[in-house]
Amino acid sequence: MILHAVELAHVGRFRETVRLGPLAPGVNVLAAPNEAGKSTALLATARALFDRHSTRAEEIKALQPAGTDLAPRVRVEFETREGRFRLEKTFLAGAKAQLARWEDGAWRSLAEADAADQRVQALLRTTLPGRGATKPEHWGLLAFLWARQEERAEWPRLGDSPAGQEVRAKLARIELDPAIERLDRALSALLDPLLTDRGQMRTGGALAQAEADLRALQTELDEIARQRAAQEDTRRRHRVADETVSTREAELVRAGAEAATLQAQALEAERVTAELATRSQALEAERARLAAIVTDTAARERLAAESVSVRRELARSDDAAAQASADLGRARERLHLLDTDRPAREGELARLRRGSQRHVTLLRLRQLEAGARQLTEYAAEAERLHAAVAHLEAAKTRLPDLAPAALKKLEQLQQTARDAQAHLEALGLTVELRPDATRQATLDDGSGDDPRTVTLPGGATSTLQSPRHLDLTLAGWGRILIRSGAVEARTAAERLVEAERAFRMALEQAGVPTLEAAREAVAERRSLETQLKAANTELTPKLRGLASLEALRAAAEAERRRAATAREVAAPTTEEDALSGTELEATEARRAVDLGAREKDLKEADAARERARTEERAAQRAAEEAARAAADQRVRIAAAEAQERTLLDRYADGLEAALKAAQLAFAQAEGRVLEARSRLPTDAALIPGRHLRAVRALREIETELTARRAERDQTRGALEILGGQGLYSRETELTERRAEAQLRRDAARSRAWSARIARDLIRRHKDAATRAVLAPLQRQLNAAFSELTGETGREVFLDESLGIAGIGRTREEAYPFEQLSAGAKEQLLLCLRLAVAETLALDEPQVLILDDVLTHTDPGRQQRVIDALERYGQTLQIIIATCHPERYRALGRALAFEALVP
Amino acid sequence: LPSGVFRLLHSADWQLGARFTQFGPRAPALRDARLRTLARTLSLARDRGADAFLVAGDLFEDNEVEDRLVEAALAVFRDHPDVPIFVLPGNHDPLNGPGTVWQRRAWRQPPPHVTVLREPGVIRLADGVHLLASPLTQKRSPTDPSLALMDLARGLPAEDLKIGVTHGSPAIEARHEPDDFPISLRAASRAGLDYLALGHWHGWLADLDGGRMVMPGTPEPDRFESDGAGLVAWVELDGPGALPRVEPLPVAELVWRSFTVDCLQLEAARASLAGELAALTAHPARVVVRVTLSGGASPAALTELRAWLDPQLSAFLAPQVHDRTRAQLSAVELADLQARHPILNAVLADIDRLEVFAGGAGAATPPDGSAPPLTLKEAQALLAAADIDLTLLDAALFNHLRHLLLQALQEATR
Repeated sequence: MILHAVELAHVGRFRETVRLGPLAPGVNVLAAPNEAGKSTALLATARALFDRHSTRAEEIKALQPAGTDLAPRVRVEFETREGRFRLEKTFLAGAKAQLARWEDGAWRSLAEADAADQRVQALLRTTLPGRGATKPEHWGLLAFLWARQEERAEWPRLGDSPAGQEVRAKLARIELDPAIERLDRALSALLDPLLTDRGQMRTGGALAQAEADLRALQTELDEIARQRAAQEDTRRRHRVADETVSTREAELVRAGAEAATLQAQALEAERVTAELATRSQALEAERARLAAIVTDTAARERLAAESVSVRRELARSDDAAAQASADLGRARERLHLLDTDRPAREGELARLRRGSQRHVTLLRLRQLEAGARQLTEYAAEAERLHAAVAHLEAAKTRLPDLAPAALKKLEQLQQTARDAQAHLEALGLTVELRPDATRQATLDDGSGDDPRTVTLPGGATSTLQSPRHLDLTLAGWGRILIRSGAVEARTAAERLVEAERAFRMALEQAGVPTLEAAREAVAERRSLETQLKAANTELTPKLRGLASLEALRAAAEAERRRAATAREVAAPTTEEDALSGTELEATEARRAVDLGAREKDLKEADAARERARTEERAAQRAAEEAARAAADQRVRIAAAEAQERTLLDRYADGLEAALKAAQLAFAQAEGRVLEARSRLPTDAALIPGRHLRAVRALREIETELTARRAERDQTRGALEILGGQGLYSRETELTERRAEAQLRRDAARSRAWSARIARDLIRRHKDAATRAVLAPLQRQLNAAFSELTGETGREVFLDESLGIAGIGRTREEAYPFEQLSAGAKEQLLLCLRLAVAETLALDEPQVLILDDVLTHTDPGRQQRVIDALERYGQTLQIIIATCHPERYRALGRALAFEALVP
Repeated sequence: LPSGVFRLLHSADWQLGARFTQFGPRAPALRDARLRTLARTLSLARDRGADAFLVAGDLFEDNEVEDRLVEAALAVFRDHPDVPIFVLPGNHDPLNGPGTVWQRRAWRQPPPHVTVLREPGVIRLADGVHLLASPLTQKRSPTDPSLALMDLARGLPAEDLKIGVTHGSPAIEARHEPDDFPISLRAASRAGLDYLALGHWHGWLADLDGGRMVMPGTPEPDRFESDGAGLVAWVELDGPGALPRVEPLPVAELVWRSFTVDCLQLEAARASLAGELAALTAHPARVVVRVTLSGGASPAALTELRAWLDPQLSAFLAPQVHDRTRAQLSAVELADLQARHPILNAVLADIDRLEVFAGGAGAATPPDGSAPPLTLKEAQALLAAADIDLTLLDAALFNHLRHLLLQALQEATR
């Protein structure tokens, strides 16, 4: 279909009649500002073409001019392959419809009212809703070729509507099998009550109901299974309890018998134990009696033996007393002899001691006098040496006080002055060099001598001088020639004057006229000091350790006085003075030997006396001890005899007879005890404990038996109750119902799955067929896309519904349509509409309506769009509504609303 | 002997309360039939002048059947007071502790002519006639329950008539399980019994131990494959040492019949089945019938067959149809399908390939020139939209699928 003209009245802002047209077969541009009525006019055209004239839907009322009840009126002239038609419709008040056909140069009415509506519907292959206004999906091909302003980025996917199928069929050139389509619908009808589109069970459907029944039955069966498990557990507990009761009952009988036996054993053991205790007491009494007699017999024998022994000791004591008395007499006699001889020995010894003392005194005198003489000699020698030292000290005092260090200082000052003098004399050039590293240099100072090689140390300053010029060749650098200057000469002269003045001041301070005099004074002083040292060295031993010569003189005088005093005291005789020292010492030696012999003799005599006294005291003690022992022994003999008499007085028949009688009684008592013990069990002491344990065990068994019997009875009762519940019969009924529900479920599922699989497979093959013929349309689409965007590297891919799947180099990597930008989407959809329209136009002229759809397209692309539209305008009618006239200037035919005179 | 001959009606395995899961809502009718058969059999015993009515185990299917059933069974017994009834617990209703069916209130004071043989022992049936009983106390055991009969028989006079009763499997090689109460094949002669009444297996078995051991089977069949079921044993004993005379008496109320219709010879098979069913229509409420449909046929033929069969079976007590047919197209139909509905043709091919992949027998040998077998990925892709697990698809579903498709196409092109 293409449009030729549209007239509107009472539509939106058009209260009067306006006309749009005539429209060209190619591109038509309706450019007008916003709110000019472009979209309203196009929408009213659609309402006229597709809606019933009698509908009063809100969408129709929305066409009325605001605030009026005016009836919208639309006249559309259009052309299909069946001819040119004119449709006039008035909606709402006075609704009417009239369809006319251009035949033989005039309009001939074809149908009116509903018939007109139906005829147009058939012409345009559109559909109608059950009630209300149409929606784009009812508009047939224009649903796809009419890009509405508010839906510029939408593409109605090709569903199963007749229009969708027609478009798909036309596009894909598929001859659809109507039987297959009916089959598809029949399968869907079969499937719909059972499964949802997503394959879930339909709520309330037969399949869902069967599954619900199965679940409910299974729940009941599970409950029965649980009860069975509980019953089985109860049965097991009953079996265990029953077996335990039997076991414990037998055990109780055994334990009762064992306890009775142990009780009888315990009573018998108790009786025999008591009898044994009585007999043991009697035995102990006999044992005590026998022991007493045995003790007495032993005591008597011991007393008799003791008496004999003590008498023997008494005889030995008497013998010892006599021997001690004899020893005492002999000791006293020897002591007496020694005491008598001792005074003579003491007198001789005293005499010898006095003679020896005189000789010692004389020898001491001789020693004092010799010492005095020697000290006097030392004092005289020291006197002489002391005078020599004094002489040397005086000579030293006369010399200038000049130390070797001072002399050295003088020499340095003199050298400094000399150096300054030499410097001044040599002054011409001075060069200071400080190389980074040690260097060799060749120096020519202009003196006519051969150039010399000097070493310049690294990091140090070296000064090179020359009277007139300095020709220096530095290794690694080259030759340097330096000539003289005046400032250096002045500085050198000032240094010389200063050095000489310092030297003169130093000589004056040292007290010498010249440096030579200073040197001589220092040498003389050094010689005198050497002599002084030698004299002092000689003098020191002569002082005998004393501090000074005066002390030595005083010591010699004191020694002489002591010697004189000793002579006065000793008052030696002439003969004694005549004796030489050697003779005195020899005499004294002899006297000393004699005196020692006498002193030793006296000490030995004293020792013999002491031994005699010791022997006397020992003999005295032995005699006294022998007397005491004899007295004691006599007392002991008397006591033993008294005890024996007392002991024998206890036994009238004699001790031996009493012993025999006691031994017999003991043997008899012991026999009775052994007899009683033989009757007592070996483990009699354990029997009462065993009996108690047996009684406790009996009680424990009785307690457990009571509990087990209760459990057995309780489980028995529970089992009888459970048995009466008829679980098997209930389970049987449920199982049979479940089988029936399973059959229902299986049948429903079989129906549902069969229908689903069949329908899916049919659609799969339909889609496959569609895909197979998509390629031509896709090529057209890509040509349009390439023309519009200039892109050749990417392709646009369609899906089975002829929607745009995405854009990219391959289908798998395609960027989804939904994620493209708004501009890309509107351009792609324009391409798709152009491609679809061009394909459909092969059968019939087609109109493509673009209601302000390229709002996001940039100016660069806009020119490409214009180019494309111009080209497609050769095969399609394109109506562009826009509020941007500059974008489509000079494109196709310009349209405008033309008011018609009523 | 009272009349020179001792008459005994020997029954076993009544299995009252048995489960018939496969029949769903029809199962209670099958259970009720057993009670009626019990009553009828007791009447038969009474009419024949039986000196004793023996139940050799498994009167009940389980120890936990409902009280209502227990009381109903006792009511049947009470209705026949002149028939001495002796009931032995079997492996389905063993005396294995408290809560068994024998300890229900109804059994605490049974009618005087009803005796439950609760423990091994000897009961005097008449002068010189003894019943030696060895009841079961557990569900399984490797012990021969007839051994107890040997001990019981030792204390009895040799000249007396001795009738044993117990429950277990005759130890026939390859027919019994070792822990299923194996009974020596010479149990009667070993214990010196004149007759040993057995119960356990559900088919008639009478030629044991020289004819002295008899297993009558269940009086009411419980499966289509029952071999010799539906009988009780009428036994006449002339005296000690004499061989018993045993007569099988049919007592079953229900008839279990199974038929097969092969669609390869559809018309002939259908005619044959019609004849068989017609023979059963005299007492349709006593017939349990199963029809198995097999083979391939066109969807239209299969639809017509089902449409014919369903009303034929509706009158029977418990009808069953096992449909194992396969919807098939003739070569002409297939060529027409390929020409007119290529998509459907491709879909059917996919279904064949899916069935082959799923291991279905129906498409085990794909025709020459057909598409290659599916890979797992391809099979999953075919079912991806439906989100159905491949492993749940069976031959029945594929048959149903084909049938559905072809039937729907038929309707769509009508």
